[in-house]
Amino acid sequence: MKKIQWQIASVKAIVQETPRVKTFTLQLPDWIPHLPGQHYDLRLTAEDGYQAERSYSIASPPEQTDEIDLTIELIDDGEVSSYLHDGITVGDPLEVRGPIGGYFVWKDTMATEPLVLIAGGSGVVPLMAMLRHRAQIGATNPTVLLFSVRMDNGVIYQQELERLAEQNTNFRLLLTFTRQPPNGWTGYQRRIDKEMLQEVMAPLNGQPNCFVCGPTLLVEQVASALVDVGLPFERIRTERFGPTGT
Amino acid sequence: MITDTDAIDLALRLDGNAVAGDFQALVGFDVTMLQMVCTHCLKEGIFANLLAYVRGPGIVLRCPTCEGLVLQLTKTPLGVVVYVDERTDRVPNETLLNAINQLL
Ligand SMILES: Cc1cc2nc3c(=O)[nH]c(=O)nc-3n(C[C@H](O)[C@H](O)[C@H](O)COP(=O)(O)OP(=O)(O)OC[C@H]3O[C@@H](n4cnc5c(N)ncnc54)[C@H](O)[C@@H]3O)c2cc1C
Ligand SMILES: [Zn+2]
Repeated sequence: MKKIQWQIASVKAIVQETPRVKTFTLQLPDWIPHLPGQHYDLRLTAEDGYQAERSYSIASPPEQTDEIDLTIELIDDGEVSSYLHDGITVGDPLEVRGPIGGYFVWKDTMATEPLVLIAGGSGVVPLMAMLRHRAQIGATNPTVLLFSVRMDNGVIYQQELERLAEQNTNFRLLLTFTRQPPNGWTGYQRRIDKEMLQEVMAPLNGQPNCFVCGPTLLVEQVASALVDVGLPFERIRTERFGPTGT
Repeated sequence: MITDTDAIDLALRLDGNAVAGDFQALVGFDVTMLQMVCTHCLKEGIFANLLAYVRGPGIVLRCPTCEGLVLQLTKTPLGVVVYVDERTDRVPNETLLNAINQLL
């Protein structure tokens, strides 16, 4: 297997997903098919040689060839995310390496088993690659996305997720708003807890594969709640994105 | 604002998956699914489930069960220094260690 190398991607498109989140489409000279859930490392180099490296999950499915989508949340005072949001335009070069990671991935061999995806904030990104790939291969396994967001305007990929839920009766989209729900909202309005997980998993037959991604604290709390509701450890895969904002 | 050092450590905690790129660049293969044995509590697990602290001068990997030090990697201008804790005769992972030893 060849070593992964840094390569210079070119920014092909930038889409504003929510007020604080943008998707960057990167054209890659050396695109390698990825598994949904994998990430790329991104490296910025200053003129004096100082470098900053961060990981970003791939949002696009492997069917989208020669390029990858990275969806990046603006973090206040964030070194890398604020540079990407404020300093990058279409046509700019960006240094990346990947695809990386063989653990937090949804494999085609899982396509017949129930799937539970749990995200906090930008943690939805690798799960979106799984949902997009799942749609592309026409999988009909019972699937649910439980997505924790703070506010009404914070639902990344909202339209696409709603469309996927309409098109595929075996995919359910469940949102929970932790701060400011939309007007007239009747769904969940609290942090993900044991009771919520029990309700979400109840309609699924058999033990689902479960992927949890987002801020470190959310991931750890959800993972231990999943064990509490009886899901075996081996069925739970987690990916920590780092600090929980304020 | 978090002021307590433990709380900062907790908030900055990532997992083995987050450092997979650095290790793959170093040893030439994906390490995330490697079986690891903690030298402190002797629990087995996989690399991806280690706790990773990446914001110091290097990368520190700890056991998710006992938080004992499993691996430490520091990038210096001259290269990469790897420290593997070896209090018992059980090593974290032979494949990984062999690959690292060949590089040093
Ligand atoms: C495997 C992996 C995949 C990731 N995928 C994505 C992704 O798809 N999209 C995405 O937006 N991010 C993703 N992240 C997080 C990302 O790598 C960076 O941590 C994030 O962009 C912040 O970097 P920064 O340089 O802007 O902030 P920094 O300069 O590193 O930090 C600035 C401040 O923000 C806090 N902070 C750092 N990281 C976060 C965070 N993730 N959330 C809230 N506060 C933070 C810091 O504690 C500090 O106070 C992923 C992380 C990992 C490990
Ligand atoms: Zn241990």
